[in-house]
Order: sequence, then structure tokens, then C-alpha cells
Amino acid sequence: MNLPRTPQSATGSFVASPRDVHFENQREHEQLYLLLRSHEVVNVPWIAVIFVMLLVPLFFGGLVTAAFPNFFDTVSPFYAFILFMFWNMLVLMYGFYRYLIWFFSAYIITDKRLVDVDFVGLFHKDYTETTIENVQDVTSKVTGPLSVLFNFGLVHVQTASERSEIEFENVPQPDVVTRIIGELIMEQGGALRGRSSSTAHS
Amino acid sequence: MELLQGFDLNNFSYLVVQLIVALAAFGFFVFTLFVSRQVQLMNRVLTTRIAGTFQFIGLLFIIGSGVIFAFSILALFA
Repeated sequence: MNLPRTPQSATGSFVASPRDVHFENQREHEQLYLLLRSHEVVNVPWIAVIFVMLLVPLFFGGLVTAAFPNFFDTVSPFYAFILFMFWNMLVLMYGFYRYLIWFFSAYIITDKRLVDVDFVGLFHKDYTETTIENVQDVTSKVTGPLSVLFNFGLVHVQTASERSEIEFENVPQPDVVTRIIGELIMEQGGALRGRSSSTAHS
Repeated sequence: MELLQGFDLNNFSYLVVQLIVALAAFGFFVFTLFVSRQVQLMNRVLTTRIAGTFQFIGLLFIIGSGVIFAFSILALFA
């Protein structure tokens, strides 16, 4: 398999032949070819929200002082500090939550199958997998200026299994992903043909 | 009217705010416990080198939210 060379980062969005990575239901000797996540750029909106939320206490303090000049005389500084820390912790927790959702919503391509793990929220997991033999068709789509600029998009996999399609959303280099899945199908198809021909000869 | 004499509305509203904050802190503390447990389960779905880091951050959130909850209760009774 001709895989591109990528940094072996555990937090990367496109990692070829990832080391020290294992997934649920991984079989013995099953080899990971690609570990994919949504492109890092899709995280920018929630990171921006976090920065704005961290600034809220400053604006809020100014607003309250302007509206009620004696407000901070009634609230003890220690209690104001607790409220401030509570708010910051809420914001950081929101960031942690979003990062976890991004990190664990992974797409995995192995030598045997395609796996799609989606975390919609922290308490909702959607796990889909299909064997390479069941893959019928692979298409990729890059739409929008950001997607074109950073080269990420949708890889749509049509399968013959009960769940008829798997979608890798916002993955980097969708053309490379499509090529790798295509090569896997060719390899598996060749192996299947070899098996059937050897059966026919015997 | 005699019943209301000596009743300080400002103090009462301050107490209500403190009570709401304490309840919110408790809710947040419970939520961090859930998240920490969920991180363990997520690490089983996809195990990487930084699995321990996520659990450590989850632990920090539990400690932090616990401290805030404790102080919000202390402020309530102070």
C-alpha cells in the first residue's frame, strides 16, 4: 500500500500508519492505514467562542459597575473571585468537551475495513464499520472556499452492507483518501479473484 | 407590616443568588464526574498515547469544580 508520509501526531487529523493507536473491536494483526478526523480548521468557530466567553466577565464587570456603582461593595471580593473562577471553569469545560468530541470522532481505514466513530454529544456515540469487500463506490466532494483553501471535504462511501453509506466529513486530502480506499478495493478484489481462481483450479 | 420589619431585601436577594450559584456549582461538579467517566469510555473506543492526559484533565476538572462547590457552600453559611 502506497501511503503518504505524515507526522505521527496523536492529535493530527490525517495520520498515515498511526503508531500506538488502537480502536474498539480491532482484530488481531489488523493493520491501521489511516486515522482521520475533521480538519483542524473546523474547530476555529468554537475556539473563537471560548475567547469571547473568557472576555465576558471584563465587559460584565464594567457594565455592572456602570449600572450599579455600589454593586461590588455588597459582594465580597472573595465571592466575586469564586464566581469569576466558576465562569472560567465552565468556559474551559466547554472547550474540553468540544475538543473531546472532535478528537474521538475519528475515521479509521485498516487493511480489512472502514470504521466511522461519531460522537454527536458526549453521551451519544454512533459506530459504523464496513469491510473493504462491501465497499461499492467511493466519491469525494470539496465545496466552499475554506474547503478549497485548506483542502478538506467529504468522502462518501457506498456500501453493500445494511448501513448503505459511510461519510467521512471534513477530512483533509479527500482525494488521497479516495485513492487509498480505491487501492484497497483493488487489492481485496485481486485477492478475492485469486481465491476464486485457485478454488476453480483445485 | 410588622413581620416585614427588619427584613433586608438586599440581603435576601444576595442569599438567593448564593443559593443559585451553589446549586449550579453542584450541578457542574456532577457533570464533571460524568465527563470524566465518559472520557474513560472514549479512550476505549480510540486508544492513543495521550489517553492518560485526557483522564488527568478530567481529574483536574473534578477537583476544580469540587473546590468551587465547597467554597460556594461555605459562602452560603458564612
